[in-house]
Amino acid sequence: MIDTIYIEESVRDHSRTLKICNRYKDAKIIYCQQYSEIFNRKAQNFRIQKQNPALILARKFKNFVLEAPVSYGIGGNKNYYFSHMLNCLYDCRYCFLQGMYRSAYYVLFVNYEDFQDEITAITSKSGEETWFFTGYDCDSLALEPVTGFMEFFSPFFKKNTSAKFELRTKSTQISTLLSQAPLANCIVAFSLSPESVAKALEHRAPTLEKRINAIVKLQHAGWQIGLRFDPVIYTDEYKEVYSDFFRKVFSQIDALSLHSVSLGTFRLPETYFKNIRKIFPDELLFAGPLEKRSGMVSYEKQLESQLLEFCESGILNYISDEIYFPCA
Amino acid sequence: MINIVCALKCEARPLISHYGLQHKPVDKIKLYQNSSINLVVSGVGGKLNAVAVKLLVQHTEPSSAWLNIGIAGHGQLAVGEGRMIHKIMGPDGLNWYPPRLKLNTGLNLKAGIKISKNKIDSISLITVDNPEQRYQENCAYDMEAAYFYQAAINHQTSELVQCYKIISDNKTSPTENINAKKISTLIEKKLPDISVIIEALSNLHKHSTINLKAISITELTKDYHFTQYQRIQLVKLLERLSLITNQNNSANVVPGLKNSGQVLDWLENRIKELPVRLS
Ligand code: SF4
Repeated sequence: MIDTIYIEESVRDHSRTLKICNRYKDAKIIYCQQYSEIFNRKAQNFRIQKQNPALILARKFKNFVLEAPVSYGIGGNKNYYFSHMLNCLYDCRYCFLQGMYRSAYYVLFVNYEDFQDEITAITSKSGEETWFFTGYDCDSLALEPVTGFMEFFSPFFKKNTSAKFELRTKSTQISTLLSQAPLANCIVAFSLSPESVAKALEHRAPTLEKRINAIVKLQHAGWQIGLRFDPVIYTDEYKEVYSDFFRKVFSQIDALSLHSVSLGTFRLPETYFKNIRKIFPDELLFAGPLEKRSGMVSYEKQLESQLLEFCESGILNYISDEIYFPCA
Repeated sequence: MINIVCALKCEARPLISHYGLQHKPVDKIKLYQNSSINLVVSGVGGKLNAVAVKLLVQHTEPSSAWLNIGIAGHGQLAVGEGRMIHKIMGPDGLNWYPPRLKLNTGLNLKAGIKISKNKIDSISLITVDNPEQRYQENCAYDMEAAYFYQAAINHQTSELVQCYKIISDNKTSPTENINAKKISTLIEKKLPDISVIIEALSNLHKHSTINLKAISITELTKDYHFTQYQRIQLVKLLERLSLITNQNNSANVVPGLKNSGQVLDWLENRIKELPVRLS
């Protein structure tokens, strides 16, 4: 429940601002000049703010669409991402956002049209298949009832057939998708983890069972689905845990109609890792067998290879390697 | 520990009496305290308020929460109304946004005082350097909050730095009507709200302070010579070991190791042997 909404003066009368304020009639409205006055300030505690995050409504002025990290690709040569929102409803302990941002407040950029203009400009210049990923700085669908993101972007995706789009999510907020015909150029990519991992680390996110149910519904409706086994997490029982997990997932979803499956282990940029460990010094995940390698913190090389090899061969029991994309 | 800063003695008086705060003779500040509250009377004006924060830091736990309590003028609100502050506009043109404190006004306190049933609302406030007679609508005026806030967030995360203001004057009841006795009465009437705020701040403070089990390296450093760098490694390894085993391991290092390097190696190997789990 959002009880505080900060609003940049420049979007005070924006239709999306008004709609959101109307949804949260009891929320305290506080106006500001720029969202950074609140979001980027020193002396903020992500852990405390996560207990009751406020919403910030803002306008984005530049860098609407950015080149995606190499590990994001699923076959295309040109990969971009865009973030209509910063921060997430869920609270995954491995999430890099906790280390990247000082604040846990949700920032929503309400000028969706500007994102679309930049996507159109990039697509029209690009002579080849171009991918646009959402859900890098947030979960693409988790706050859909508030943001109306897919409701607004669906017709745009439908029109721009030369571009491909990926929604990255753990959410079961799929009613906007189910209420329309599936889009041929849009992949709904679900991040999945074994129950025990989800329970220990993916706080407030829907259970594995619920995510699988959402996938099944979307598959029945004809949507293309991607599976993201990322990050896989090392424990002493990882072989048993991940074998059971893959069995469970692939016994319920239609593996033959999957668009893509990717795999990656737990990893964080060193600076983010340091920040996160400071706010969660009591988290067992960070006391595990980790090491620093080229600016990243990840599992010790040997363990990481074992874990990846095991999961890879587990996954490839169910899918063809043409749709398999290991994260770099 | 909650650190309360008031500008005037008459603002502090009802709090001193209600919380049974004792005067503590220390240099340069007027400090009153009990086991969970420090209260300092700074004198009027932001600069004095900021100085009081700096001085109080030397007499308090580093992780204490901060609360500025005082009177303010307002364009619209009636005299006697109390409000938390969610936006502070400073005389230097900078704006500050104290994160809103979740206040449970239904809290059942044992403090021997009636609990506030009303929702404690929050408002914006302008801090001025000279008393303000032109009341802008929907905004409070004071002479301290911006200074207090900037000084206190140097020592604590902003969620634990809050301001609570009680309206003492407005368009129809100007500052000339205020005197020390009236100010004390205004504060006294708001003690139920203040109790709720202090309780909420204490709870938030408790939940935000995550201390790993205190690691003592004294025993080990008696037996082995560790360089500064090794000491840091030692604390890190012992913290990790304590977290994984859920017990304090500082005394468990096996005897018979020759030097500090061996102690660190031993600890690292011990951690490697332990099961890797998530809960
Ligand atoms: S769902 Fe994704 S974005 Fe949200 S907290 Fe988890 S990892 Fe972060």
